[in-house]
Amino acid sequence: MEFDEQLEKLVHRCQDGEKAAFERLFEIYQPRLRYYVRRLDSGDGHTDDILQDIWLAVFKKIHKLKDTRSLGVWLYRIARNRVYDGFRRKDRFVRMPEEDEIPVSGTDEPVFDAEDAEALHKAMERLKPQHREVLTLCFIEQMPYQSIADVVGCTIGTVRSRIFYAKHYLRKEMEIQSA
Amino acid sequence: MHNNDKKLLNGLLKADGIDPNGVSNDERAVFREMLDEQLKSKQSKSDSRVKSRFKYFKSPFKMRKMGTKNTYDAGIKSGLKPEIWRIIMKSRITKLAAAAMIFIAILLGINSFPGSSSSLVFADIIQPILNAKSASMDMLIGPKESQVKIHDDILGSRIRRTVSNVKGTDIIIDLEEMKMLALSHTEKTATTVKLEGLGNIPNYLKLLQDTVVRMQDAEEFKVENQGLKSIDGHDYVVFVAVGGNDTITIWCDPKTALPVRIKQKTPNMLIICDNLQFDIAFDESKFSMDVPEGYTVADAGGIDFKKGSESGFIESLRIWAEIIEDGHFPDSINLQDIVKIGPKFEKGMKRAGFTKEQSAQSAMKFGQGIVFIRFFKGQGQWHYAGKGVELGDSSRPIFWYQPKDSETWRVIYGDLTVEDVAPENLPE
Repeated sequence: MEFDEQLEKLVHRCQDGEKAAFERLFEIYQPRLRYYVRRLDSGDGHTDDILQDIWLAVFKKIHKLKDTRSLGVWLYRIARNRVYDGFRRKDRFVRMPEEDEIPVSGTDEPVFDAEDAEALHKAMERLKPQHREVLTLCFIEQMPYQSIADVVGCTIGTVRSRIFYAKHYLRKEMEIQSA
Repeated sequence: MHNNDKKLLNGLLKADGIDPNGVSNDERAVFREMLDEQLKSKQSKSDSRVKSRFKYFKSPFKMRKMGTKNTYDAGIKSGLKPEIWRIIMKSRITKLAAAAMIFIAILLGINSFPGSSSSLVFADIIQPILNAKSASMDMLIGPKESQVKIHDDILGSRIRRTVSNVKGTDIIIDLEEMKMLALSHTEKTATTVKLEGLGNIPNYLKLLQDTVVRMQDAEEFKVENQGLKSIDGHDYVVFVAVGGNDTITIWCDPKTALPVRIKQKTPNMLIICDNLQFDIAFDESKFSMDVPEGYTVADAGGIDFKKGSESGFIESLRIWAEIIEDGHFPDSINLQDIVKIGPKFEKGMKRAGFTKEQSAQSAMKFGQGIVFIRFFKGQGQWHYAGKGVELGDSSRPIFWYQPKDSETWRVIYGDLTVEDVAPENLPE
């Protein structure tokens, strides 16, 4: 059975209120959500609180999730909202300047090898928040651009543009680090 | 997942100190405890709150007609008047001022949409809009006989706005880049304005989506299902939700399960969003920030709302007292008061003998400064006590607030001087 199909069944079981299914979902997503939240929240020690809020929301709202195939988008949107709710409360969200949306081709994007994960992780910390966010979704979920756009709430063109820039900055940053 | 992708994922997680193979025993234990609590809570509520929630929301559109049919009364008894929009449309600069004022007023309005303070649950009624990528709506302000209609088309972070009494002008707002482009089709001028310092402002659609997300977590709410009501010969299911001091009325199309009208009432204002439509296949060029060919670009500079802060707000108070209220401070300074000041503003500027340029500049300063309240950065609440105070009265505090990370409060007096005051010495 394909992983996506398994996930769909898992969601249905969660929607039926099955405890074991929730636990399984938690095991699958908690590490990735932790990584994502940390990339957005820049580690103020609130990650655990945010994660707990996310799972509370998942528990309360999963019965409303109609398109079970969109679990990933739905989950990360909740996560994003929780992080940004925190920002709004703390009034510390700073909007960063963004590049214009530009047409890009997929062929000239840098490719990253799994062997470089550690360097990649370090270099990502130096990216702009909006670049770090799309790359995180790209790397940890392999989300299609449209899904990332759905999570972030922008157009697919903006996502494409951000990822294009982000990968180039990342490559440059890694080169600086290795030098 | 491809092998390299999986390795990359695991590598990134490890680099961040996260075990890619699962969660720690502590994490698992906390989650289980939370899960047990939620399951138990759900069970115990299933006969009361949860059932009533389903009663109201689960299948509202399968209901048969209930209650009496009412003809929808679009009249708003809020006393809001639209004159301000007309007054500030006398020159190119005033058009810019108008655009800014429209933008500010609506921002003030939509951002007061309940969410942070209210505790409602809207569940299935507005669930469909969560996935909407685009929307179209009319925002109605003021009583029916002099109502201003602001039409917004929304696509992602961009809004194309027209205002019923600002003929021949379209405003395109890019909320991601925080830019505004005002296009006067009659004069063929394009005015670009950089809106700095406004922070992260969602459009109404995004705001509604965020609100829904937050509301779904709420534990307490009060909703009344008013059954089917009629607007212009069409039946809609009407829900009235009350949370704290806020009331939201939603008219839903029984066939599509989508809201077509939302009325939002708070102590400070009343806004009606009408003709709501979602997921419209807009032509993206309609939202372009590029200046159309043949249009003259007007150099308007930018509006830096960061500069507004306290000094800008004090300037707004001065204009309000000196020009609008003829020497004394207004009774209150909420949104409704801001939108109502149009006629007084006009009279005041005539009285002061202002030129059009001076009038426009005053309008701009006023608009910018007043944003200080909306984007209030202090701790807790601000307090206004200017009712009955004459401009220049140094003995009467009219406004006080606590700046962020400050132990003392800032108190503004009737002569518009400011003083740092310890909490124990604050005005009562």
